[in-house]
Amino acid sequence: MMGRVIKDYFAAFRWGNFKEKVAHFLYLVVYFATILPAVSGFFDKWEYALVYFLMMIPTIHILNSGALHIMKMPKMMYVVPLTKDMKREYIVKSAIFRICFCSLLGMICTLPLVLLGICRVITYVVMVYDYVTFALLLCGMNERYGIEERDAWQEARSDCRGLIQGIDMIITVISLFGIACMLSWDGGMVNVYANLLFIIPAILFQLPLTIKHMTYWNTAVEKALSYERSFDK
Amino acid sequence: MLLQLKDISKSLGKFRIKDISVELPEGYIMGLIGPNGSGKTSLIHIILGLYKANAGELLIDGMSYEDSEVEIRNLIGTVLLDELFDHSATLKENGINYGAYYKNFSLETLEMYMKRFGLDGDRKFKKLSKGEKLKFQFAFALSYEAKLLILDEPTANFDPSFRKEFFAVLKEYIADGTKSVILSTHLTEDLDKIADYILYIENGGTIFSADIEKLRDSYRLLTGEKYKINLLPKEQVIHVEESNYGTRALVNHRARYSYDKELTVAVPTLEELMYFITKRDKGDKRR
Repeated sequence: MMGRVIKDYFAAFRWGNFKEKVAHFLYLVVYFATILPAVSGFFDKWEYALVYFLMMIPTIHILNSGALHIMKMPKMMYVVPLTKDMKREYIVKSAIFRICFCSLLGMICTLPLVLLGICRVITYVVMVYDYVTFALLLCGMNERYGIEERDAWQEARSDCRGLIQGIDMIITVISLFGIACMLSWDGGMVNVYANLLFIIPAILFQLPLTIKHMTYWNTAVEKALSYERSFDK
Repeated sequence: MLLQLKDISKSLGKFRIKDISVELPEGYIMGLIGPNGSGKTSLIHIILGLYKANAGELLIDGMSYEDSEVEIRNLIGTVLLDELFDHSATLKENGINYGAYYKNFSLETLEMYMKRFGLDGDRKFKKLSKGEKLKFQFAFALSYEAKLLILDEPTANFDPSFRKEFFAVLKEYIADGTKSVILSTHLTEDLDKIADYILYIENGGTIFSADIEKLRDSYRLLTGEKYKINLLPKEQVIHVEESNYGTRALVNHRARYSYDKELTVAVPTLEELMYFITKRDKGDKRR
């Protein structure tokens, strides 16, 4: 089952899928990859640019993964002879693999910053925490987020899931961008007070929101188990 | 009995499948007919276990999805209008990937049918036309010794020469008397030749459910002068239609009924039956 999960994960990264599921927020990627770093001074020094792009790579990957790996099975998997438990195993393992892979990519991209010693340990911890939070938020969605008739927010608004995901995601993105800004502007020597600016909201808001979001996990898995609820509403 | 539906009901928003009951023994082809939006695909989704019925009993080869989902799915071959397979994989890869879940899957059988249907196993699924995608689903459904083939309107997408091949394969498939087919379509001309049993649904409810011979014995299409048609007993007439060539009426028929000699009496085709019943007076819905 794990082989199938891994194969399906990477098979989703194909051009046709990008065009269909990611293209509508491509302008955001372009904005974050070019305009924002240019106007924010991230291109002034190579160290700044390195910090910025090492943080953008996992962020964009997690965003893509959120659009490409929504929590439902390929249609044929609902037809083939699998018990409910086997289907559940596929769905849960797919989600866990997504979280692990996205988090691992975040850690790998953080490693050069650690090796270069350009920020404090606590900053790395907050960065990795942000990646994990982001991955947790996006991999628990039954519907693709973005501009769509039945998008994730509409789908989940009855149980506030969409609202929680939305607020938590905004905080996560602000946190990541803020850390990148600080690292660049301060040349990596971020002071303790500036770090607290991101640690306190992470503990006070992000953590409880993420925990609350995870309480919807079973709802999301149950929904993904049903063809009717996943495809024909 | 390979398929038993008893009082199956299902709400799908404002639409509702209403108390559908039908039994299909081994060795039969059942035509599932009805106008667009009548509930054919929804009923097929219920039979496939993709939709859960709100009420009623569904047994396949005496088993229910609740108790024996894997066994049932091993017995069912499916052709749906939905594109089920992985778009980026080749036909052969799709066959191997999904065939692995079936107890009796045979790659040789799949390749044999792909060759017979003119499909290249090395082509990617996404490169196929709609008709070819359905052909591949059909080939796959035949590759693991399924006992019940459930085919949702495939024929409309097949070219005329493949339609002949398609019906020939279906006849071969049921020839040993242990397998059955449910073929949903609104193109009824082929069903006239091949179907043993017809389930006609409209607005989610059963209009008739009977073997085709009984259907042929139950209705007559009368053509003649309008005043002659008007003399027929009202309760016998299902629908009357006037045209430049005379007046036609579909009527309920019994062996003991006799008709005016000036009326032309014919056994209606399924297409004519569907046409007249769809147009019948709304007050006389169920028969």
